Amino acid sequence: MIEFLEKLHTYIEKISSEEERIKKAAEIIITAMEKNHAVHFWGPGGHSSIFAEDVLYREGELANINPIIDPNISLSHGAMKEINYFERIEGIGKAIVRSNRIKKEDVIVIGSPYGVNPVCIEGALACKDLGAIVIAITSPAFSDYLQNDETRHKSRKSLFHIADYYIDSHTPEDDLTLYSKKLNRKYGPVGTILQLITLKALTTTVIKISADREIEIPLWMNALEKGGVDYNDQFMNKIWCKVKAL
Amino acid sequence: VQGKSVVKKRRNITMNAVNKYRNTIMEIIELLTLREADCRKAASLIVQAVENNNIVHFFGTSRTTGSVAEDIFFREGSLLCYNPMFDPSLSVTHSASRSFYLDESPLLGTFLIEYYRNIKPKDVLIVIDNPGYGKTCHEAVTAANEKGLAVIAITSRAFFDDMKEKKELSTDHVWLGDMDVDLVINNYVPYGDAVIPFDFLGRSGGWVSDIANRYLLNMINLLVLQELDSNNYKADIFYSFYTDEGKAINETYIEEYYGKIKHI
Repeated sequence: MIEFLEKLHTYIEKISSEEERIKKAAEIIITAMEKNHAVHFWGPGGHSSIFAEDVLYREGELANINPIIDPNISLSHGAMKEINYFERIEGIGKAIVRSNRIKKEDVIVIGSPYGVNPVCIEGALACKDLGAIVIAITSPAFSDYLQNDETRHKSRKSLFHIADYYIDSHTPEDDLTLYSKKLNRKYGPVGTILQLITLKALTTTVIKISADREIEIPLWMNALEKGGVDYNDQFMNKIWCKVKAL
Repeated sequence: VQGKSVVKKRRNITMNAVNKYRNTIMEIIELLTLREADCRKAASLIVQAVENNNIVHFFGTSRTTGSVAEDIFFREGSLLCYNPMFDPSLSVTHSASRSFYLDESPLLGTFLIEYYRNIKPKDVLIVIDNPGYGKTCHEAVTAANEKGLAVIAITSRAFFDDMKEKKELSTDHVWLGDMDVDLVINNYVPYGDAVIPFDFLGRSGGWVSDIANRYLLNMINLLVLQELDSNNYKADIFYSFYTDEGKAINETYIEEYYGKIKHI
């Protein structure tokens, strides 16, 4: 087996140990949805932003959520700009939360494997101040490993400290899975994959529990298939303007 | 104004480029001010929409007009029901060359009108395109007509006619203003947009279209405010973002219009 895939399997096994936390988070999301509170998904970081993109408008995913995509806090408007500069700017996290109209009793799932950058921490704190419930998908081991003050929020808190609930994505502390003696380097980053697998475990659990309880839950159809666009329009017309990323 | 550009390139006048540019701009502004009657008609269409809870959409359909819609958005004196239609494809911010290559691409106008789900019958669409021959502006008008919108075109007859005369457009090309629109406002942008030529360089500089289009939109907005004021109609209008009171009221507006205006 390819060494990376072998390693990946071991990490996925570790995520399985999060079953109870995943079910608990799913219940919180279902309760919020039943009470018509908004549920947001946000990956406040460069590669972390893929977290929200992955649940945005795709077949079999929830059609009643607000994935937050901010061009400044993603790779799309400059990877180096985001990672070296923007995710360290004070004020952006709060502005993103404010501009997404996050409210009391909303749920926000924040995904960041390291969970320490100023935008992430400030955003999570702003959500808490507003009375929203913060669920984190993050890796405490990775958070603890990163001790560079330049990359951390001034409070030196980590996402898993702030969140009301967190699920461990078991991303290794330096994100890397393999080592080459010849290069004398570690390689094979895995954080994005593990964050997404954990996220998928959560959203599929939300859908499964809802279905088992016969709770109506809107799911996108494949827009590439015939009839898909028309089917999706029933949800799209309700949320298009509020879900700014659509 | 048909045919030749009203605003001539100032090749033989011995003034420096900045003076020439200023004089040309002043000339265009004078010409645009003479279109007040047209702007008044546009304002009346907008006021009617506002009073009926409809939305007014602003769509600059090329790389040189894509940003114009930003000018009327989210600032003191701008109505909350103004919905600018932005798309990176039509601006230079997400690759200038790509926006240029898309000039004659089909379906962009049709799809963007379909994409903006807040477009409803009896809304007003203001399409801004300088030469007015591109597929995007034409498709936007056709799609808006199908949806039952009132359409106002801001465009330049002279620019289009000069392109045809220079054989840069085929005889099949149709001018935006000749389409099925409710109102055409000439923006007097001359052929090429740049009005000050430099003989040795063989190039021109000094663009006028942004100033012309933004001046026209300001005229229209002022006439909207004037008509609402004389009708004693309290429309939702942004306050200043520089005062505490204004910021507080604007915050309530943002909340109210969050689900109605995409880019708020």
